Amino acid sequence: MKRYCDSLVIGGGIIGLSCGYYLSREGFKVQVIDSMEFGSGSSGACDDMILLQSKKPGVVLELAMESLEMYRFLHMELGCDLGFKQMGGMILIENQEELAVMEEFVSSQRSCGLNVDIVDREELRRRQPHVSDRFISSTYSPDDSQVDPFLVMKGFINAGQRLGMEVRYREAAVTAEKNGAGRWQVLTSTGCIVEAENVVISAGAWSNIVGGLFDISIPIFPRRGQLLITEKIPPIGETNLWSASYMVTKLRPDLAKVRENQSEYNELGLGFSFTRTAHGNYLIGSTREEQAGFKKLVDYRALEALSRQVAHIIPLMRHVHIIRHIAGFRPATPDGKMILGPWPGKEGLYVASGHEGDGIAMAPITGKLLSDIFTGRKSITNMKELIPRCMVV
Amino acid sequence: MENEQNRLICRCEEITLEEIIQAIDNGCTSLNEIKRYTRAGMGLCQSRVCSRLIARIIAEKTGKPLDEIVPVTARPPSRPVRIDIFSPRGCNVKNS
Amino acid sequence: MSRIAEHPILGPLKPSGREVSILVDGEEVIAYEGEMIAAALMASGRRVFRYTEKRREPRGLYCAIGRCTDCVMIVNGIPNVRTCVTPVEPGMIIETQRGIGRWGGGDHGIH
Repeated sequence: MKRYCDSLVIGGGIIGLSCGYYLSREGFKVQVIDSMEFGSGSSGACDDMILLQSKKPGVVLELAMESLEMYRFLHMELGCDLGFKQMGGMILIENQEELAVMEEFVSSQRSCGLNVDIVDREELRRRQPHVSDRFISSTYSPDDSQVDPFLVMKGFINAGQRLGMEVRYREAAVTAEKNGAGRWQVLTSTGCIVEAENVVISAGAWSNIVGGLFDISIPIFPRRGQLLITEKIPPIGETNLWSASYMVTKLRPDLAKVRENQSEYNELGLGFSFTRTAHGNYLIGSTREEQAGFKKLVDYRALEALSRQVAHIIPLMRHVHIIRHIAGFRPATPDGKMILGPWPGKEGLYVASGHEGDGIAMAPITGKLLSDIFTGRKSITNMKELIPRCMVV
Repeated sequence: MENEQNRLICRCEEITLEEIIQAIDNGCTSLNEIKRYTRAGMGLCQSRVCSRLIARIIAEKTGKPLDEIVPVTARPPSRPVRIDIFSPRGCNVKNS
Repeated sequence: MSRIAEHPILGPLKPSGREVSILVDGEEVIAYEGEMIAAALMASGRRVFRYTEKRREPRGLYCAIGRCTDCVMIVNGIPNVRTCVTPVEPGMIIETQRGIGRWGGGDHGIH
């Protein structure tokens, strides 16, 4: 059997579906295929944040801010609830050294237009009465928001289908070649050949495997993140929470404090995130592991480390039940920026992937930018940094 | 209960028969997919109560034999466990 | 109080703990220390332990072995406590849970 389309999107996670939807909106005939099931990859095994505060000033922060603006209205465009909530976020600061680093970071973000500030101990207590009093202050941004990734994916599918987009799960790309007319011929696991003008690879952590079918090497590798999911509980404080120690480790490695169990922290890449889902469960994160490959296992060491960390920061959480311990693969790139645009030397081949921990936040803007590239519309942001680049992995 | 469609299948998340059938009509064919699509099985009991019911609905709606329907992915802890069980009070730093 | 004193298979049943007083939605209930909260509530004639979040329907004891969600209540200011697997302690303050419940309440200091 043979199918024809303008654009074949390989990867039906939140990024692929966003690309599919925005391309359909421009009138392209789009088919999305995914070797797995709805929500079985990283889009279904992540936190749900549109987090602006963690972004360094530059293209990533600018795009995240734009993506947030799109999310504010996306439910109207897609015609369904997306679980969008704007709870704001705070990054907890434990000592003067962290405070100095965060003050500098926050002021650089403010100069980019991000609504963020440092608040004192009293305001921290007022907004977060259950946080341990070890923390001396915190950042606060009212803009940090979140969505339900499953609802967003469903929304893109349903709205895309109304525009003629076709989505097929459990159909993998097997081989790819160009025919005489310069169109891609992609053979799939169902025995179908899909002929398409353009192919978009948006397979997240698996993008490089798909890239292999097109003889390209995409510098995206899986970074495992383990998360704990709690039962539904009443809100803990006003906002979602992170800890500055992890941010400081990234921004100023020389200041990273030496812990008793340093090697464990390093191996697990432990950082603290604490976010309330649209349904009232909390997601407690997270690890950031380099060496796990595609093993979707969770381990007791991480369960213990994540539990200890949250009980240490929010003692009330000792009473709360963990109902699920999950792992997901963040599509990581060597320079920490997503890859978006046409692949050099391969006409009709595009990559939209490598968002690491920002896939949910960046989904709308990624699809929108890709459709802008397809239509040749000049994009408002500086794309140079994102266009597929040769990087040493 | 007012009618059959309104019957609860997932007690924890309060998901109805109608919602399960809608998910199947929209292309979901596995327990995991229905879970992600509807939240049935995402609650405190982690689908212990509803997954057999849903498997039967899938079998009836799609004709797939019951014994070919793969169970939902199980993840630890297999029962709800309080955080302090993993992190005893006063033992915030592990000495190992 | 309705309790089974003479069980057809297990024979005579004697509560093992001492009699203690707990507070259920502001009312004093006499229970046996160490029995499950749900048992004490059932014995006192209570059947509705909580109201669901979406449909606001009443729920009570369902599986009775700690596997389902149905018998959860607010116990000493902590919501979502499965009363069928949580033993009675003297002076416990137990409240009907509405939806996902709330922290604290009354004057119990949670920490």
